[in-house]
Amino acid sequence: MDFLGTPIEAIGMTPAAVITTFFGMAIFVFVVSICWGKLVEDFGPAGGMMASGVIVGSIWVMNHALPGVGVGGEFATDAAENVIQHGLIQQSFIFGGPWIDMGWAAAVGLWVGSIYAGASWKKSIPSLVAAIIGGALGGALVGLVSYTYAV
Amino acid sequence: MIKHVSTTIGAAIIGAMGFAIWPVLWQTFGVMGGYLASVLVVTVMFYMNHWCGIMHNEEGAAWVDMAWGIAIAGITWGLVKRDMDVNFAKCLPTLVIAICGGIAGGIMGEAIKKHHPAFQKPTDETTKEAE
Repeated sequence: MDFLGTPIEAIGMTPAAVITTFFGMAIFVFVVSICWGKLVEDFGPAGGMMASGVIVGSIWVMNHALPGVGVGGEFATDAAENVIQHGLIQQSFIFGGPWIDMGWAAAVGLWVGSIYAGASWKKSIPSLVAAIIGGALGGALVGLVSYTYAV
Repeated sequence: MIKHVSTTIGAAIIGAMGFAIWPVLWQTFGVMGGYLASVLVVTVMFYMNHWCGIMHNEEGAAWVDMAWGIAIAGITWGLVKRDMDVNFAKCLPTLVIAICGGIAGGIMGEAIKKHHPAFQKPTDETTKEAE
């Protein structure tokens, strides 16, 4: 079983991390796909809002968890001086690349799922492009905050 | 045209709120902060983007979720931030696995909604049989 714990140099993750990331993503989009629509149908927007907070919150705790222990946000390191990630979703080369959120699973999974259920992907292209541009701008905006002070 | 502008704005706002609020709360309150952040951000963003319809989804078009805003913002935030020395190529393994896992989960969810007996709408014949 030890091979599961040895990092694969090429991808910066251990085999166990590949498995947990895959299932962490799949579980999130599955729960959203089944529950959210029906919750909004049954309870209207208020129910949908509170339920969405609970669904995303609980699954966030499972998937992303804090890379450290306790309040304060210090990073725990393992025997090889690598940061320990406590969630199911493991970032490859942690701190080497940008953050991959569990939102990717929801975004891609719901889109592909609706295509599987018969929706048209061509009609969604304008909205998809607009959403991608919007997300890029929003993220860049928050990144700019780090330039508001001199280093 | 305004539909596409509002979709851009909706995705930008959830992308910005996600990465401005979540890390701060998680570092202050630990794991519970992450939970609190999702309640604060996702609820009102769902209401704005999907219930009020800011992120436009055509009838019969594939569903473009507000999660696209968060997903892409995660990448651009990491690339624009100053204090991190990031290389985009290093996020690709997790990204590929994320897309595969997302597709698997999404298709499984839709397949269950299509075939599972608990999700079939009762037709007139079954209600007549019950009477």
